[in-house]
Amino acid sequence: MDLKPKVTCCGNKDVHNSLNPELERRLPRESTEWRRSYGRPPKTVKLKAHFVRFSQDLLVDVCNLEMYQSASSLHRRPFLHIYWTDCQDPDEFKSTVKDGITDWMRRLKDKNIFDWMIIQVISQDSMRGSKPKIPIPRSSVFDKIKSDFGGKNSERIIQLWEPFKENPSPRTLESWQSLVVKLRHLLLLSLNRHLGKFEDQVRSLREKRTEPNWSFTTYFLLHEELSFVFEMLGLYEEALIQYDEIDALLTQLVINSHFGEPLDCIEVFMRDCKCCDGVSLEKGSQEYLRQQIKTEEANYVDLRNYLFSRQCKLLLKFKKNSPSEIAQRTLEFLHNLKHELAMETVKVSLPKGGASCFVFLTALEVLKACENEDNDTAMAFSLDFALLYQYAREKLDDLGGLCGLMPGSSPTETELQTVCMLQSSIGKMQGEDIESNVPAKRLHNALSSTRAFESLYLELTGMAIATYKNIGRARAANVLGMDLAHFYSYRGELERAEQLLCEAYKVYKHERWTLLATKCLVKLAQCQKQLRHMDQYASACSILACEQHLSSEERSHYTQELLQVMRETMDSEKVIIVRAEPLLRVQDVQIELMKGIGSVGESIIVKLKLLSSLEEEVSCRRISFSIQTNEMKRVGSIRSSKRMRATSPPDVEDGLSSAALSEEDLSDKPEGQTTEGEGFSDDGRETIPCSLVPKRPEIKSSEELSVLSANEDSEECCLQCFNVPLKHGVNEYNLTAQLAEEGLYYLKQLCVEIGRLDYVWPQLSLPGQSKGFAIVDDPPRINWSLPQDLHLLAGLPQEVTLSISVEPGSIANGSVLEITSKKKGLIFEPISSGEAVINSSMDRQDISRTAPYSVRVPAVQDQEEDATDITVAMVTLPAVGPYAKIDFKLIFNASLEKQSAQEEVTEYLVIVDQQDMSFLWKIEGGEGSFSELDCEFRASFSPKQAAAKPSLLSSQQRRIFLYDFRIVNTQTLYTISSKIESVEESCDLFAGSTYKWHITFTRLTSPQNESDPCQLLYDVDTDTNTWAVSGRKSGVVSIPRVSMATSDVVLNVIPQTGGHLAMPAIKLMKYLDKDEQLPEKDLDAPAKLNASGTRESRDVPLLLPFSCGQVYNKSLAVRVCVLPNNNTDQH
Amino acid sequence: MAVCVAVIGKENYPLFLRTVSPEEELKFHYTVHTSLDVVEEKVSSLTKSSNDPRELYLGLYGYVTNTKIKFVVMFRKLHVAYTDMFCNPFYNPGENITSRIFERTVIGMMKQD
Repeated sequence: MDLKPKVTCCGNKDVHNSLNPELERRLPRESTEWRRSYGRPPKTVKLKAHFVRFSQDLLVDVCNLEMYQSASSLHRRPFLHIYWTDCQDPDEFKSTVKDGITDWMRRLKDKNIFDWMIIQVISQDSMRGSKPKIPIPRSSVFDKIKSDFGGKNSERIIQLWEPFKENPSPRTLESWQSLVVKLRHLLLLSLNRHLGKFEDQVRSLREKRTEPNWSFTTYFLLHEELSFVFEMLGLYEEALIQYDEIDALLTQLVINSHFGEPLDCIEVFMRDCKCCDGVSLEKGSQEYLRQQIKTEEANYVDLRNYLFSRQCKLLLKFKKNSPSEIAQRTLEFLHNLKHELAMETVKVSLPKGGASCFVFLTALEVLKACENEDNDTAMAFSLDFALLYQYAREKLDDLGGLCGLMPGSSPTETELQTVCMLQSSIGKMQGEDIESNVPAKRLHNALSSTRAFESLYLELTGMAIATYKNIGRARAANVLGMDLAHFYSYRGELERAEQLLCEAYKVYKHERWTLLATKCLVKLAQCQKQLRHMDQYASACSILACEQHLSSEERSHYTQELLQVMRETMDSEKVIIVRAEPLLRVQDVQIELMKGIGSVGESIIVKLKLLSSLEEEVSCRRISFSIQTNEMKRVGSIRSSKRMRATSPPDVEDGLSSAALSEEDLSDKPEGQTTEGEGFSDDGRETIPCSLVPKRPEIKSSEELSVLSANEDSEECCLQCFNVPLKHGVNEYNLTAQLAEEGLYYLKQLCVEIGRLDYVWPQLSLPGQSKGFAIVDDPPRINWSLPQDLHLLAGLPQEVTLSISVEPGSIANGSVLEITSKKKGLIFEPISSGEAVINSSMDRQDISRTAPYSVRVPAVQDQEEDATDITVAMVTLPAVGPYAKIDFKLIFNASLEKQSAQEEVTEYLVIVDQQDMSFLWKIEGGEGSFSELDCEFRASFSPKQAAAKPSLLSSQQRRIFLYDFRIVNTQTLYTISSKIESVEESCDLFAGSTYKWHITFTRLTSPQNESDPCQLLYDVDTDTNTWAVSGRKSGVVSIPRVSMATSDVVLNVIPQTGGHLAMPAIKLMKYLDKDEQLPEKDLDAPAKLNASGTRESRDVPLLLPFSCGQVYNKSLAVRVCVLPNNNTDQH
Repeated sequence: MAVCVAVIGKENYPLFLRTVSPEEELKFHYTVHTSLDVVEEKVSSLTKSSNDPRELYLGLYGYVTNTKIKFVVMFRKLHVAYTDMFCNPFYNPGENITSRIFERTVIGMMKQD
C-alpha cells in the first residue's frame, strides 16, 4: 500500500482527468522543505498526491473534535480541494462556471475547510474556437475568478498555460512550475494543520491512560494514524518513531502490571493464542491483523506481531539503515515477548512448542525479508544476524527435541501428536497457494519429514557458524560446531563430526580450557573409534588415559582401550605415531660422558628417566633417541685441535721406526660394552661394524606428527635399548649407541615403541649438558723413554719404558699390543710378566696403581731368516680407563752384527741431464783417530731407457764411476772462548764503561808430533766504532802440549755504543821461533812461503796461519747486550 | 545473584571458575568461554579508542544485572580477593588459582543474594 495524501478535484472533468496524471508525475520531482510547528526541525519531503473526484462524502468537518477521537482514518481524508476550469469566455463564466465554483466553495465552508485551490487552464484551441475578442483589462475570466473568490486568498487561484501543446512554450513550463510549487505549498500547509491538531489529540488521549475505561485499542488506532501520515509523506523515520512510542507504552504497561498496576486496557487481548505463525511481513496478514485489533478480536501476540511487522516494514523501507538494525530489533522483540509471555499478568497461552515455532518463524521471516533486500554482505558480517541465526537454530533444536525429530531418535506417539498440533497452528495466515520458501511452509515440511528438518537445521547452523566466523567470534562458532558435530554423529556422519570436533578440540586445547578440551576429546574419541581411525584413537586414548578431569573409572576405561588398540594393531604394517606427552613424560636425560666428550667407537650411554602415567605395565619393543650431527663447519674449532693431535704420528724415540708402532695397532682397544638386550661383538677389529657409518637423521620439522615417521630408517644412528618394561611411575633406562665418526651430536627425538605404537617427542627441550655430546677421534699416544736419557747400546739387553696415554678411549683387559721391529734391528727379550704402572688423570689428583702385564715373543727369529726379517713382541695389557697413562717395561737386544760396518747404500735414483746429486755421510772419529782419511766413492749407473741411436751409453750395461779423495784436517786443534765481565755487581754493560775481557785458548788434542807449536800468536781485530780495546791487542801465548791445556789473556774493553754487539774478532796463528822452523818446513808449503817472506824482511819468528777448521772460536757468534750510557743521556 | 564467577588469565585460559551448582559447571565453562569473544572485542575497542589507561572497567555485567551498585561493590570485593591471593609469594602468575581464601570469598559472593 502506497499511501498518498488525497486531493479532490471538481469542475471540468475532462480537464482534470487529462491533467491529473501529469500533475501526479510532476509533484514528487522536487523536494520541498517542510517547516514544522513546535520548533521541530524542518524536514525535506517529496510530496505525492492521489487525485480523486470531489464528492460530498469525503468532506469531514475539521472543527469537530469528535472526529479525531473516533479514530477515523486521517490518512484517508482529503487534504486539498481543487476546482478545475478551462473557461476563457466571460459570458460562459458568468452563466455556468461561477455558480459551480460558488456551490463548491459553499460546501467546503460548511465543513470549515479552507484548503482549496482553483486552476484555470488556458488553451489556444479553445480561444481559437471562440470569436476573437479584444482583451479588456481586468475583464478576463482569471481576473473575474480572482475578484469573485480570491478575497484574501487570491494566491490560491492559478493559471496553467497551454498544457496540451505538443511543444511547450516557456510560458507553459513556467506556469506548470508555479502550479506545482503552489500545490506543494498548500498541501503541506493543510497537512501541517491537520497533523498539529491530531498530535494534540493523541497526546491528550495518552494522558488519560490511567483513567478507567481507557482503551488501548482506541489510542493505538489514533496514534497509528500519525504514523500513516508520516509514511504518506515519505518520512519513514518519523513513522517508525510513532510505532516505537506505541511499543514503549505497551511495554511500560506490561512492566507496570508486574508491579501491581491493572492491565485492564489491554485485557481484551488476553486470550489464548492458537496461531503460532510469528511475525508476517505480508501486507494481507498485516491488514487482517489490524482489522482484528480494531474489532478487538486479536490476542496479545497478534498485537505485538502487528506492531513489530509495521516497524519491520518501515525499517526495510528506510534504506539508510543497515539491515543489522532489523536483526537487532528482531532479537529484542523476541526476547521481550518471551519475557512478557512468561509474566503472570500476561494471560496468554501458546500451545506446547508454539513459542519456539513463533520465534523460529519470526526469525526466518525477517531473515528472508532482509535477503530479499539484497543485503547479503551486510548480513554475512553482522553480529546481530549471527545471533538471529543462532536463535532460530536453537528454537529449531528445541522443536526437534520436542517432536523427536533429532537424528537418532524416532518420534513417539505423544511426539507425533505434538507435531500434528504444531502443524495445525502454523501457516494459518497464508493461503494454500504460497511458494515453498515461506517460513511457515518450511517449518511445516520440516516437522513432517526428518530429512527436511535436518536440512533446515544444517542450513541454519551453517549460516550461524559462517557468520560468527566472519565477524571473528571463533569461540561462539566453536560451540555451535560442537553442537553440529553432535548432530552429525547421531546422524551417522562421523567423518564430518570428527572434523568439527577436531577443530573445537584444537581451540580448547590451545586456550587451555582443559575441562572443555577433555569433554571434546571424549566425543572425538568415540567418533574415531567408530570410524576405526586407530592411529587417532590411540592418540586420544593416550591423552584420556591420564586425564585428570576424568574419573578414575573413565581413565582406566581408556587405558584398557589403549591396550586393546595395542593388541589389535600388533600385526599391522603401519606404525602408529602418537605424541608421547602427556602419557609419558621425560623427567631426566643424562649423558654418561666425561665433559660430554666421547671417542669414536665408544659406547655412549644416556640415562633416561621416563614418567609413565599409563596405569598398566607394558613392554616396550624399543626406546630410541635419535641423534643428529650438525654441519662440520660449526665443530671446526674443536675438531681441528683434536685432529692436530690425532694426525701427528706417535712420538717415538729414535732407534725405532715409527711404522713399528702405527696407531692402527692400538686403535682397536676400546671394546663395546655389553648393553641391555643387545651387545656388540667383543673381539678385536670387528668392534666397529661397517654399518655404523652414520647416516644423518632427517631434521624433523618439530611439530607435525606425520613427519615424524621418517625416523624409522635411520635406526642405526640412535641411542637405543630393547625390550624393556614400562611401569606406571618413574622408569629408568640406559640407551646406548656407538658412533664411528667424530663430530658434535645432538639428542633430537625420543621414541618409545610399544607394539606398533610409537610414542614420540618431536622436540625435547633439554638442559645444556644433556643437549648433546661431542665425539672425537683421539687415538692413544705411545712414548718410549730410556733410563737416564742415554743412548741404547748394541749387544747388551736394554730396558726401555713404554708409555701409552689413553685419551678418551680405554683399553680393555687382555688387549694385546703388538710391537714389530724391522730389519732384525731389535730382538725382544721375553719377559713373562711385570707390573705396569697406571696413572689416572681423571680425578685431577694423580692416582697411580699397578697392574700385571705379560709379554710374549713368538719364536720367529729362531727360525731361518726369511725375507721379512720382522721380530714381534706381543704385550698383553691390563684394563686402562680413559685419560689414563700406562707405563711398562720392555727389554730387548740390538744385535752387534753389521752395526759397526758401513752399510752399502743401495739406492736407485733416476737422474736427468744437468741434475745435481748429493750424498751425505757423517764420519765420527773416536779418541785418537786419524787426522787424514783416504776415501773412495763408487757409483754404478746405467741409462734407464735405451737410446734410439747406438751410442756410447746406449747399452743398458752397468757402468762404474769411481772417485778417490782424501779428507784432511779433520780435527779442530784449538778453541777460543771469550767473555766480557762487568766490574760491578750488576750484569748490565753500559757503553763507555771499562770491562774485563777474558779470552781463553784451549788445546783440544795432545800433539802427535813435536812439530806442533806450543806458542800461539793472537791478534784482536776490532771495529773501533763498537769496541775500544786497550792492553795487548796482540801477543804470544804458550799452551802446554797436553790435551785440554788452556791459556788465558785478559784485556780491557770499552763498548762504544749500545745494542747487541758482536764480540771483537780474534785471530790465532802459529808462532814459531827460529829454531823451530826447520821441522815445520815441509808441513805446509804456502805457510813456508809466507814465513820465509817475513823472515827475510824482518828476521822475526815465523807466523803460520791455521788451515780451515783447525781453530774454532766459540764466541764468534755471541752477541753482547750493551746498554746506552747514562751520562750521554744527561748531556 | 551471581551464578558463576570466573577469573580468566591473560591468554584466555581459566584461572578460576566456580558455579553455584557444580552440576552446571560444564555449561558455564562453555558460556564463559564463548563470552570471551565479547570480552576480547571490548578490550580491543577499549585500547583502540580510549587513551585513559585507568579505564579498565569493561562494562559487562551479563544480563542478570538489575542493580548496578551491587555489581561495583562485588567487583571490588573480587579484585581485592584476587590481589590478596596474588600477593602470596608461592603463587606463580598464570597458574590456576587454588587459594582457599579466594574460593571462600567467591562462594560467599555468589551466595549473598
